[in-house]
Amino acid sequence: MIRCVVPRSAGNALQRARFFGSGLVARKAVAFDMPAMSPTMTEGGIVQWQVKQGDSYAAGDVLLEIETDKAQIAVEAQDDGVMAKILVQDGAKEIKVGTPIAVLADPGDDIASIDFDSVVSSAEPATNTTSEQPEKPVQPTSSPEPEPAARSTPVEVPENMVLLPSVYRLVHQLEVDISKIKGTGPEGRILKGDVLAAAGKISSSWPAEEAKIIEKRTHLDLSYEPAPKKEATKPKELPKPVITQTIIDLAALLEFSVDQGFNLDQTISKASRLATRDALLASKPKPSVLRDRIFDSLTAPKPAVPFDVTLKVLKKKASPKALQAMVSVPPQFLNRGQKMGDIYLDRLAFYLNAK
Amino acid sequence: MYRLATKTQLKRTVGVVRPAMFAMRSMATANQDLDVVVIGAGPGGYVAAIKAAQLGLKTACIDKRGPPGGTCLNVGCIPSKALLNNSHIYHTIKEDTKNRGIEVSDAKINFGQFMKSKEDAVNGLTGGVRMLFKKNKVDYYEGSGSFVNENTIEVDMNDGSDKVTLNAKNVIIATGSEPTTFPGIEIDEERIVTSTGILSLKEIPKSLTIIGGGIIGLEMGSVWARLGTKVTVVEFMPSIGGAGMDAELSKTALKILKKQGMNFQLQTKVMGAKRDGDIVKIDVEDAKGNKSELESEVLLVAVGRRPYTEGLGLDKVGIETDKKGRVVMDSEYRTKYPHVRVIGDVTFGPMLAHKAEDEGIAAAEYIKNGYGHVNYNVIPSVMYTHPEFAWVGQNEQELKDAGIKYNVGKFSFAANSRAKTNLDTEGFVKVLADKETDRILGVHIAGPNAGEMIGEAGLALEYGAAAEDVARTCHAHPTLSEALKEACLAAFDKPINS
Repeated sequence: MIRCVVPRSAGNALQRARFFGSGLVARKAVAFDMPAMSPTMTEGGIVQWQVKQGDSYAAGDVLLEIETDKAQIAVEAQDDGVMAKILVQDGAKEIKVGTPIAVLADPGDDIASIDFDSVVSSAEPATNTTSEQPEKPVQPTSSPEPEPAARSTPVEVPENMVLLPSVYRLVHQLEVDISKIKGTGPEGRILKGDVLAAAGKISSSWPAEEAKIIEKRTHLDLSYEPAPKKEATKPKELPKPVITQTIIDLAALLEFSVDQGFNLDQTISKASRLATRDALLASKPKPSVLRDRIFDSLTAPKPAVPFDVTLKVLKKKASPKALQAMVSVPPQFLNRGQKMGDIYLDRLAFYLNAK
Repeated sequence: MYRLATKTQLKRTVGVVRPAMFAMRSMATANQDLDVVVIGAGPGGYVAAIKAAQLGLKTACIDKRGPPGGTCLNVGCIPSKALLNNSHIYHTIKEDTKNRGIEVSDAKINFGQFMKSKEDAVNGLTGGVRMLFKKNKVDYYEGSGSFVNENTIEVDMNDGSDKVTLNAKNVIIATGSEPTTFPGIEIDEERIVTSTGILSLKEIPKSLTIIGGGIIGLEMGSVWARLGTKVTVVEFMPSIGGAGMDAELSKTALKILKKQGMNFQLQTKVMGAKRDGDIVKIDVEDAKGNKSELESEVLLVAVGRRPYTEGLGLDKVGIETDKKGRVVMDSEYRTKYPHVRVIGDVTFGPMLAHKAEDEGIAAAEYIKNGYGHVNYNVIPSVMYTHPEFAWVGQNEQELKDAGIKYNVGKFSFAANSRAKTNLDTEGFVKVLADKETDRILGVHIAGPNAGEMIGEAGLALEYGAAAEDVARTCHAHPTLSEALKEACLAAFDKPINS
């Protein structure tokens, strides 16, 4: 079985009406016509309604199954709605395409108040676009402009003027003097509407009015509400730096160097310098194999220390016993920050104890 | 001294791509006098920089992300389209090829490779932008740029090297946007993710809830639904697709995506969400006030984007931002300083990569020539689900609001020969043309390759074409684009094949 969605016959009008505010346009039930499931289908039968009278359905639900000479096809609803009335029952055969077979209403409509006769008569097959009756020859729609005549009186088009295809056709068909037309298109281009207006076929002012509406849309709307005053904007939480810290036991170091005119501050600062160097080196992304260290050291500036180090000697009863070290790496280093901090602390402990 | 060194260095490395080195070299300059400094190397910024350089201006571009390309290339358009395309191929193989006489057994996802193929696309393109910078002699700085004063930008380099100071005759701010967060929901980019995290999940989640039924939410929902995830979209509005989408397109999208297995909870408010181990619990409340709790492995918060100006130092120079955080400008992209311009997501207008690109070019042209052009009526929108949804110009509601009477020319892909042969016939082309002048006012397409086809519609709008003009333009047969031609025929006369 094939599934197929068929737009409601009067769906367009209804859809348009729906989007206008609320209440102004009365909702209206519409006739649901026998749909044409293929370009060649002229009639079909109803196998079975899947929605009962009075039931509501959602867009995409199968309303009924239709039988053509080729296949059985399920017809889906395009919009949400209510089955107000079934006009042609299950099993009916040879129903002409375009014949009303049911009346559909919007969700929430008062079904009792629908005037079914007028709904059905307003959607008679004759006024319906889907109801092409093959026996009737198609009426020629345009007025009988004699083509040869148009050719025999050529309209003058200034030489280097390139016309849109529609304009070219109309200038010849309506015999309009193109040189007198002022274009309302982009950069003054002559548009189809300009020729129609010049020939009196449409309102003479509309093309220009429309151009103005469109022109307005070509610019951005630059109106704005100013931001609230400063107090309101609290300092945003900046991305936080990566902080790593540890406490290094200095007992071994102090014991070892107790009697040699030893300067603790100097030792720590030297160890810190070495640890910084190591942390920078080790956390660097792998350099390219093409890179030349010596050349770089000549040309590149010395990298600045990218992180802050806080070192604090913890004193226990006058004699220092431990060193509290904290490294703060700025947030832009992302995951390298942690690595940098770890390496620094590791190396710092190493240099202090190696002393 | 520096110049000499650089030259030697470049000579030594001819033919070898070494972006890291390139950036390292440029940082050696402590002070640089430039014609244009572009802050941000996204689709707006990098295009502006290259255009400016092509116009003969000495140009530098700064971006703190590192790889150029901005959100679009790194965590937006490009990776998402890679996932969409590959998941579509997988889905087609699983569900559709049998009908076409191709039997594939055992189709399955190698998730690592699936994600790697996305990363390859991203890396290829960001590398391409670096090459373009090099080729056009744009200095690229990987670091965070901020105003010192209105003519001086300081770059805090990502690699921790010395700060660089750039003296700029002109500045273009192109810092883009970031995902809007949802009040009360904490993003961890692991279980509770934004459009960034959803692109690099570690595994295929069993279930995914998406807050926001806009384009990003629906595209990402499509990707994971095709891979077997149970997807639920929670949307506050009664329709999906976002504000600009034509109501008929939006309804069609809802119907088709439902059919593809996505679940929708419309007119539903999200009250909050919390991660509980490996599960996210989401409290929702429907239009009638009924509260319920949804559970899923991953929650995607896709409720929009907001301008991004963090660390730019706008306060320091007194450049104004509005209530929504947009940098205030005039019609020539100038801030309160005529030489400081702003383009893309960080200022007014739709947040779209192609809009930013065009503004980037216009801004560079304004600087050089005093004239630029962007037609904001002709900025296409595309949703890359399957089928795609694309539109340009005005939708039916906008025309009604403007009081313009119009004809609707509609042509279904079910009647298009190429769509038929491809067995891919969902959707339609809808052309809205003025009832009297026949001028095309909007084109709305739901269907295969709608995003490609919308280009022609944009060209028609740009040139003020009538539906007849497009209908009288020869279109190749058999192509999907014939559906646009037929819809134009339908708008002013009658279609042939329907």
